[in-house]
Amino acid sequence: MPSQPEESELSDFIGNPLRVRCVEVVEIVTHYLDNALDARDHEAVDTHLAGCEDCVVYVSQIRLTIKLASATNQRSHVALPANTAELASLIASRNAHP
Amino acid sequence: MFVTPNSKDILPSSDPATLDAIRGGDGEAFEALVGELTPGLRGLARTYVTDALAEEVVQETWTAVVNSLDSFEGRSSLKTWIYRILLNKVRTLAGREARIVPFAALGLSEDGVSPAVEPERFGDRLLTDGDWVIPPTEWTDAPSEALENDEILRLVREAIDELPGSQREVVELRDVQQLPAEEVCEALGITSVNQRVLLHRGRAAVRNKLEDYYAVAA
Repeated sequence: MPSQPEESELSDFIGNPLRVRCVEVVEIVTHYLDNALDARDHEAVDTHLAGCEDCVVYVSQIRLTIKLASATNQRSHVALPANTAELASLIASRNAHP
Repeated sequence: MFVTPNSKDILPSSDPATLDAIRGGDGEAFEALVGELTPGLRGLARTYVTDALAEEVVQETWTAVVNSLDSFEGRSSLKTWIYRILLNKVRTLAGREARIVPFAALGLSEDGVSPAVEPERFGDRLLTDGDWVIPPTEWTDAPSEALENDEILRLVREAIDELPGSQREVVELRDVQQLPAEEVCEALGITSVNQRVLLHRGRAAVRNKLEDYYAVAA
């Protein structure tokens, strides 16, 4: 869900929006991906990426890193905690004693 | 990438009816909530303590949820509230004072920002100032291959576990558990700026490990 940046968090990061440097891009990838840059800075990064293959590689590697982190989330361990049934009975007993 | 739940299979934690149902004595609604949130709670607890202790903390968390049902005022989402209960318990257990995010844990050195990429990889001459001089190289695996590669997934898991505490929490909640930024800020009690700085430091560190891995494998 894209969200509007609630504040201009990093206006200091991009010194000159007319010439964004690679060393700046690598610091703001997460802000960029979160849509947390203000419109001017977001556009400046877009423009930089359109002409910089190396930064495109870096951003794509951060994107893959995020996907890999998500993929480590093993859902195989699905057993409920041992006290679930006991707690569910406690919940159900709320009905009996309103 | 993610399936948006439709009205028929809305997650228990996102369903406004869940809290009322549980308060009204619906044990099944409670079990559905436990089933949905336990894997994430377990995963977060395991970044602090052993698996056995993590299991205990998860059980204690659900006990606390049941005992505090009537005092929950709904100022945060149900899910955030439950994550906060777990975090309070597991941080105490791990002996970490976590109310204040220490400067060092933000990934910032005392004399400034610790960069996402080593500064030597960027030019410092007039014509190359700030441009890559040692650019990243494409990794040999296609993304779809990497995502199926157990060795890579293990490496990523280890890299996350090795992150400084505050970075690890944010990466675990945002990237592993897929919580939205606002909920992570709320659960951890940090600002959105800190959250993104921590997240980016963590992601950059994990990416660097992957880069090292692919450099050796190449």
